[in-house]
Amino acid sequence: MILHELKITNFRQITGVQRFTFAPPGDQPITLILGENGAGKTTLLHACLWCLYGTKDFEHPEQLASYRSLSENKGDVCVSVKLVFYRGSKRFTALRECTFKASDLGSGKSQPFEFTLHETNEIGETRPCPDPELVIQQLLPRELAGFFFFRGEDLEQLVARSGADRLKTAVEEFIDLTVVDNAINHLKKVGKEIEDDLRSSVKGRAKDLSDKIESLEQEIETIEHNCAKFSEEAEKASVQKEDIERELGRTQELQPFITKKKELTEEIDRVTDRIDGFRQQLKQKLSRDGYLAANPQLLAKIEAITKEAVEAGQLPARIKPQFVDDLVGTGRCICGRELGPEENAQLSAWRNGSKLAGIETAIFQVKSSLTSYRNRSTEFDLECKILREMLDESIAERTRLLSERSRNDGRLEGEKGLDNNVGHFQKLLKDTNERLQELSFELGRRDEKIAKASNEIAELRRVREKELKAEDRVELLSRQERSVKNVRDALVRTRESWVGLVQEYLDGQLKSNWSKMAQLERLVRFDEKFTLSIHERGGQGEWVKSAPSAANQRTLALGFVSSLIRLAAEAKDSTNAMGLFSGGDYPLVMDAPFATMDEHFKRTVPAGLLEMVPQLVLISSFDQWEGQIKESLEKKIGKAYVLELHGPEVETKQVKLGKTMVAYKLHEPDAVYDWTEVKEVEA
Amino acid sequence: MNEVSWKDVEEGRKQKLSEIIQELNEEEYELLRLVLTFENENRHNRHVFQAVQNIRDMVKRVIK
Repeated sequence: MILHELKITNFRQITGVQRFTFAPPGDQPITLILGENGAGKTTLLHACLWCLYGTKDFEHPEQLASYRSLSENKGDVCVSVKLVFYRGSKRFTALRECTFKASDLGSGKSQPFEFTLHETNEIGETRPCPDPELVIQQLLPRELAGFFFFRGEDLEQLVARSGADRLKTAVEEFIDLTVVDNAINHLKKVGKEIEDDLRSSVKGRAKDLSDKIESLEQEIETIEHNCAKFSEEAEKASVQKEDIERELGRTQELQPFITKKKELTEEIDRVTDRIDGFRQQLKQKLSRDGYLAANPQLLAKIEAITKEAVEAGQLPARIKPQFVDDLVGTGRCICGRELGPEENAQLSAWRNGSKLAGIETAIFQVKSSLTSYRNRSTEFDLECKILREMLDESIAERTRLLSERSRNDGRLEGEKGLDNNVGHFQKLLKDTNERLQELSFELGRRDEKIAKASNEIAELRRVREKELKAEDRVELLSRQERSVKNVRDALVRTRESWVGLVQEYLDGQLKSNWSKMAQLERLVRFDEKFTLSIHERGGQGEWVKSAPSAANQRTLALGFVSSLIRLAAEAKDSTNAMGLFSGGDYPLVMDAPFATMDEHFKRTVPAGLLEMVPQLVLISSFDQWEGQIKESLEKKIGKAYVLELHGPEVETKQVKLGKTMVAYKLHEPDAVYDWTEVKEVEA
Repeated sequence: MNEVSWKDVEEGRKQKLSEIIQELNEEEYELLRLVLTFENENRHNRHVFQAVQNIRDMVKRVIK
């Protein structure tokens, strides 16, 4: 199936008649479709699937017809999707259409649709396919369509353990086991009928043996029924175990960060205590000796004044107060003369009015203390300086630690309480493991019990056959019953071996595809349980299951899808293809497949994918297209389109594509509903 | 890298099928062939009862 053209008319928000012509396989096999959110990217996928299968797996399936068309048209509105594709040299035109009335707007009414498929041969003759659904099922079974038309986020679900059923269905669809499965089921019913006939035909001992055989067969059925339940439970428990192990793994992965956070918090507390200590010491020092900080200026001033007074001859004082006191006390001059009352009064007045001597004394006392003060002040300064430096260093250290803790917290963001959950997860894991062991024991006993009952049945049959030989009809029924069982067993074994071989084939393809696309040393598997897994080297060089990441999962799923494409291409030429599915070349129609990939995968995956896929339709937003993806795929684009979104609340925007500016959002104040128009742009 | 080619798959399938068929006697092999042909021709026939009756008739014809 190689896509040629898609014509969409009034489907969902795509209004009017809009066409895409797809780039064919070759040097430029990519069709790029760009659009913003809400412009209808996913609608394109839905349009293809609705056209081929009539599926409406989207929100509000009742809104099939374009609201804008319904609101603007008074008459009928035709909704249709036409998909033209090739299978080899044959061209197929699939068309699904239905008609709505303007009055259907908002009514949620669903209308009957018509589906036609026309085949055009090499010489241009066209004929309608009488059973279009059957032909589509041959060309691309509905169960497989999701592997070729998908949204990027759907890919991750394939890798989840719960995706195993879908993968198994895919494998079975590809090799088409319908015929074999029908044969197995029908033969089982035929065998049961013959067994019933046989039972009603036998008498005596043979009848007893038949009853016993029936009872044992019922016992086997009960065991199988119970074991199916056990298997289902074991499957669920295994999924749960994987989830728990993943949670624990995530916890272990984050353990260094959790430990680091604890260490950093302790260190920050220690440094904070130290800072508080330094601050306290500084406070005490300032409180006790803080005046020393103010003294140097004051002391220097006193010293300067004293020095000035000495130099001016004012100090030391020429007349000492003691000398005057002595004169007043003795009442005599130093020459022995008795002082008169007037002289005594003058001396007393001088003595009372002059404070100079006191000041002088004070000055000299202060001066003598200056050296001591200066020394203490220097010491105080030094001590304060050291304390302040230590305080500053501690503050800087705390800032650094806080910043480191913040970075560490960034890694732990969203994982709050994870460390507290470890115990819970470990207990859950223990319980799950115990239950799995119980189930495994029960399942192990199943084979033992069934083998025992089967041997007993075989022995009973042998004895019964001897008894029955006497009667021809009974002997014939017995032979028929045995032959039907043998043929059925042969088909069951054929089925198992066939599925196993294809699973091995896909596993090999997956490994090869992974190395082309991911270019990372990993062990990828598609195992016999139909699960996809990815492993990386552990510390001892052993393979350990990789932590789940969206990028890994998408790449793995794309690798698997590419394996299916290869299988389909190879099966096309197979002369022994046993099934209905005809195989052939298939495209990939992908909506935002690379969205969550890191730069490495964005570089390697698109280029690797192109090696394996003949035709690619890439639907993307502008943001996702820019950068590494564009760089890898730009030269391989054969056709390019923009989904132009119109609407009353839409803000007009343009983007540069190649050399031209292209509008991709258009404000349309008069419009009632948003709608989309398709514009082809330069590739 | 343990890549299996499609040829290997086909060969493996043929081989396994031939092993399984060898374990059947002639009548059983004929029954197998008839049943598969019938199922292939009637793959979209949903009438299980009819299919069971047809196969039962085949069994009667082949295992006599």
